[in-house]
Amino acid sequence: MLSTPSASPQLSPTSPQAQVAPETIVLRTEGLAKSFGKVRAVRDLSLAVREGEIYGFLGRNGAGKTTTIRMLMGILKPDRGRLEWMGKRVRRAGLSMKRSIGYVSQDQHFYPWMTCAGLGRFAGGFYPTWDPAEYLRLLQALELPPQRRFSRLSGGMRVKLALALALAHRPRLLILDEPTASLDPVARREFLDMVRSQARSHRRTTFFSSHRIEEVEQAADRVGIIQDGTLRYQGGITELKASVRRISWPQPVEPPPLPGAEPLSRESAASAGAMALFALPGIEILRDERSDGMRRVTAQAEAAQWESVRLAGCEIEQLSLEDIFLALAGRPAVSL
Amino acid sequence: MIRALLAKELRQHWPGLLVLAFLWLVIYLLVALGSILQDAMLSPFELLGSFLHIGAVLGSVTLGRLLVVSEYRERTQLFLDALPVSRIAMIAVKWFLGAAVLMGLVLAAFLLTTLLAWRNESWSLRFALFLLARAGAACLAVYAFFFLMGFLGRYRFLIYALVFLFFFAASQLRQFEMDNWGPFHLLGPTFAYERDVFPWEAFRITCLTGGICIVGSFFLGLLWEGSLSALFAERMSQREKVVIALVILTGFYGVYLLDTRTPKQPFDLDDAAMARSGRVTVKVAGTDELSTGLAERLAAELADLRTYLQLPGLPSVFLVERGDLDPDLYERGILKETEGFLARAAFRDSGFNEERFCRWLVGELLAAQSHDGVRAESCRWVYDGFPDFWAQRHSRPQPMEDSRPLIFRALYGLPQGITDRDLSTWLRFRETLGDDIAAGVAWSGLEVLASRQGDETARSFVRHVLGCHLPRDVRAAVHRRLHSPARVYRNLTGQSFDSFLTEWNGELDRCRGIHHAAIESLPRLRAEFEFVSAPGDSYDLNYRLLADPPLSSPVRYALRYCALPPMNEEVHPEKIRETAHVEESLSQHVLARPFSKGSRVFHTLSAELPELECSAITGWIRSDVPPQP
Repeated sequence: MLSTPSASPQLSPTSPQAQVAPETIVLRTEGLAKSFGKVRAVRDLSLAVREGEIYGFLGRNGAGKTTTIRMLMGILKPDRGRLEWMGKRVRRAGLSMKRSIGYVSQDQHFYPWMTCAGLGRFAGGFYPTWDPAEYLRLLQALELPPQRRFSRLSGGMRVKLALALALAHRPRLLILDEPTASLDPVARREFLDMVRSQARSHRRTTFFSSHRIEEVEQAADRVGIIQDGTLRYQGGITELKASVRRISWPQPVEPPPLPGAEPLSRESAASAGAMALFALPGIEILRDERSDGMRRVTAQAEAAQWESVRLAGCEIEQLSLEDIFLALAGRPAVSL
Repeated sequence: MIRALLAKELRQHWPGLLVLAFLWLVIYLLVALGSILQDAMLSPFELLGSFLHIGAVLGSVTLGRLLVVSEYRERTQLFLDALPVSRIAMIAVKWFLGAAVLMGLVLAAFLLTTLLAWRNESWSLRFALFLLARAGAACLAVYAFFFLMGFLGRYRFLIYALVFLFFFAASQLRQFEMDNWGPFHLLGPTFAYERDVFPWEAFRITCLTGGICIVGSFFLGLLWEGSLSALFAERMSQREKVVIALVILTGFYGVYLLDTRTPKQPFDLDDAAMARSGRVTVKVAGTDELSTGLAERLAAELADLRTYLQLPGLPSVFLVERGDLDPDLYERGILKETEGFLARAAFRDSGFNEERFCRWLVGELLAAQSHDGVRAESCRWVYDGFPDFWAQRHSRPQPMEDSRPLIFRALYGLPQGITDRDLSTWLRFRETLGDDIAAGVAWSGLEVLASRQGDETARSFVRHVLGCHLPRDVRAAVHRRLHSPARVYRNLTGQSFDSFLTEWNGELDRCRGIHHAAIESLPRLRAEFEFVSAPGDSYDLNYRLLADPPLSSPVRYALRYCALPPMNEEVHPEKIRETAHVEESLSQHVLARPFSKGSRVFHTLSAELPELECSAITGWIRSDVPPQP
């Protein structure tokens, strides 16, 4: 039997105020929106990145990750919304904000004729905090030949070079836009290790976008999941896992009615049982599937609420981050 | 930040900038050398002005490509976007760097010219400032334009074509003089000589144009966070290429059509005798009796022609004396901006043959009136035969065999009779016979038509083929197709064109029977040509004329030749050169002027045949030098 807690769950996935503890917020957006003609790439996006954390920004291809990052970097101007950098409200990312951010883009468009060292000299001219010795150390650590031209670097080396350029001015925030998309598994692991070690040893805030769940699961402290330009979830991975369950039961048998409810006739039992599940206070149905004679409902509620829920004849399972991501980003949520 | 951007641009583009400086020097020296060889330059600053016309465009195109196009095409501006530098600063650094380089080159050219002019030119600070301001403003405006074009990426070539089209259309349709406009005026003919009055108006226009281009550059570079320029920088698709090519071709064709339809000012001739007849005006240079009489006779003749062919009108004819021409050679003048037909001839020479000139004039006027449509091969035989047919109109009906020398020319040219193939490949056919004999053949056809079908049918026939005023577009080709001589003949007579050819040959056979002995006694000409290797990779032409039966002495003959253009188009008679000989007996000659290897030569030998009252030829030949085996 399904039981419900007395209090409705406090679930507000897109409200940063509800999720963020009173730690320093490095970067916050509120109601950020950007359209390209009729295409609404980002709509009403509110997120908050805390100091020292690795923030995993998950989303499918075309979900709006890169557009969001380009707005955070000041490359694109938001149509609407507000941006807050280190507690100060700014219209868009200005020069001083960009000087405090290290950025690794999805594709590297460096000057092909420049060497690794030359790129460092060039980029260093724009950052007052640029540390040439640190840059050389990073090149060495990343096994990048300083005198090799960018055009002669492999794909993995190009991403590492971008990371070195992004880190050498000791940024307060490191933004990585799907940096491992074109890397092989070994290079990807090396790159992620480097990012993690930088984040842990220097307590460097890192905003890390990807569509690879395992990467984010390994590296991120908190995640934001974006779908169709809208943030569907923001919070810790453990909390996310604890809040989502998949309930499966054979069809056409419906789950029995809730305790205390009026007994149902056999004809209406199926629909009423389902409605009872769906009517749980604060629950959000992420996915509702019927296949192989089974009905599978993926739902999100407060973690404590799931502990009190009992369903006879139904299987309730905790999901991996990948399954949760599929439920959140795979298709639009069921509206009740 | 600015220093880093500057250093990057210089590190990236120094090879290109060095090449540009070297090219400037080379072009400057070439322009200087050209002016010295032509002995045309009065002041070294004229050289500077001429050079800057080329140098400013070359420098600006190169700088725009280096600084803007390469950045956006390689998409490296995305790297700059991520750096803490504003787009305005990025574009401004590029613009000012390019402007500084260009001004440096202009200054270098100015100093070099000043060195050349130091001893010969009077000099003042005011004059130097004039020169520098004019050169600087013009070059910067041109640079600003090409810098702006850099932001248009793959569409810049389309804009170049449209700008060129605009100026071309303005000059063609509105008599807009580009030399008097803005930057072109600043570097124009007064550049080297104007020392007192500064051309403020042109300077203002130049600065305004440059300013608009600068604003446009920043606007395009900043619009939609620079994404428009990035979009333009992508390579052109095949579909875009086709569409753009069509747009450009259509534009040029449209301007061409508009130009041909725009009424032009009538040409006029001062101190000339004028005669009007019907709606035809003829003016002959001079006011004496000769000019007046000639003008009146020509006007009457052309009015008659207009009525005969029912032409809507004929251009006014202007005849000017050109004493250095042979009296049997005539020249058509080219009138670009005005309306009319200008002819040049030595009409005061005692050897001037008015009847012959009139025949030439009739042909040229019909060609001019049809935009050369009547010279198309499909109806060319009618065109070639008409002047003689027209000249004989008063003596008709006269038996054809009595029309000497025309019937002799026809019989001499057609020993085997005429075929449909001869008419359809008339240009080749007339090259084997020569213009005069081919005209005689064509005349015989029109005469047969008139004698068999009547004068009125013959008149309708030539009117349909030659008398139409056609537009200068595809409709002319369609009309020619629908009004071929064979089709017109069928429509007028209801008989097949083959039956006409049979009649034509029958009539020629009848005349040949009458004149058999005279025609057989006429010499048939042959030629021997040989290209002989000469020193310096060149070739001489050895030639000999052969005649059977021999030509009566003294023999007057000539080698006629010209270098062929790349295509096998019809060779204009004015381009043909002649080496004449008068000999007791025929001998071999060498053309003193050698032909270079790889050239093509159009050549024949011609000899005067008194019985035909014209020259016969051995047939035109197109030869490769050296001849291909």
